[in-house]
Amino acid sequence: MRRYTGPVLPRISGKATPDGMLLTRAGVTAKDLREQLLLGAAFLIGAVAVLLGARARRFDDRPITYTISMYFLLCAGVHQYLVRRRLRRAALLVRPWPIRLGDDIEVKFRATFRSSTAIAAVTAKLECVEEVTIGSGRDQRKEHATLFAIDLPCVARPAGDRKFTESWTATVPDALPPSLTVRSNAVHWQVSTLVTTDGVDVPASFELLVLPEVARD
Amino acid sequence: MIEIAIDQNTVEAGDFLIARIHWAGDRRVNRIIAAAQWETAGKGNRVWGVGRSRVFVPNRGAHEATFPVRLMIPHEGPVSFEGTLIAIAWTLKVRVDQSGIDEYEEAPFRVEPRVVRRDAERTLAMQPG
Repeated sequence: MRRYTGPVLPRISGKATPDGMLLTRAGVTAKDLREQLLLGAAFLIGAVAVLLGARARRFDDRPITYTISMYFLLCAGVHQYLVRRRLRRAALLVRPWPIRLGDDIEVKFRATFRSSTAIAAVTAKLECVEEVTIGSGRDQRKEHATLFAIDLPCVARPAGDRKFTESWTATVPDALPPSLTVRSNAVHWQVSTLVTTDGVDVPASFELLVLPEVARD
Repeated sequence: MIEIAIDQNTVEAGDFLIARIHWAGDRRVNRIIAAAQWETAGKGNRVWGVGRSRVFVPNRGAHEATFPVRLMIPHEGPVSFEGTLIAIAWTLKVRVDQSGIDEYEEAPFRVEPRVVRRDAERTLAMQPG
């Protein structure tokens, strides 16, 4: 059992405005692009190894297996990248901030897409999710459990509009735990959105800060 | 022998845990450490942390002592709870650092979210990351 000396509340990047805390998300970032380039490089290395082995008439199934695995990984990675790239920018304005248990919160969501696409459906939910890390090294895995989730009602906007805006109000239950971030154990409060355009689901998630305080009248 | 008497079994985050600790023994004691400590339990890797601690040094040659403890529980918690995958529990742990084998005792207590007025100013000034 390891000692933890860091902060127990999450650090959330945002901009304080007179109307609340503004949380923003880009569809894709430079880090996502680097990941795709690394996958591509890994695939190329495998392909070159297979070709060299074929030229030397050496049969070894390891480079072939590796190359095929990298190919599928690359395809999945590129697909995810292109899906998320449809979203230019998403923002969530939250008031009040930080949030207390029992608070009635107002949330305004705005998404800007790269091209005019028909928005078929929008779903959003406010949820409280536990996340744990089990084990270490190669045996490490993560598990999640949803403690609370409510659907936030959405109205789909007509086609041709690159920007989409929706507002919600919701109550944070006071019987649930506040935000928590310690090593291997976390409780995340978040607003998760999913915008469906041209048959593709584009996700955007925003973590909220819920304090260990209960608001009472 | 260590006896712990906690004033309240439930404390709010940001409030004080008040207790009295009574120690009696024959060995030479260097110091007595009382710490408000939290631990995770459940499926995830277990971790622990210390909210606040206090060190008490008995008089030289003393074989018993009673001293009060007043430890602030951090405003940010964590609070006690039992979820599906995670549980957080707080205990007041006392360790007697003495010649030979150290002695330990602990007493559990709960930490609840701090109750504030709905229109109260947000006291925890969380800076954007």
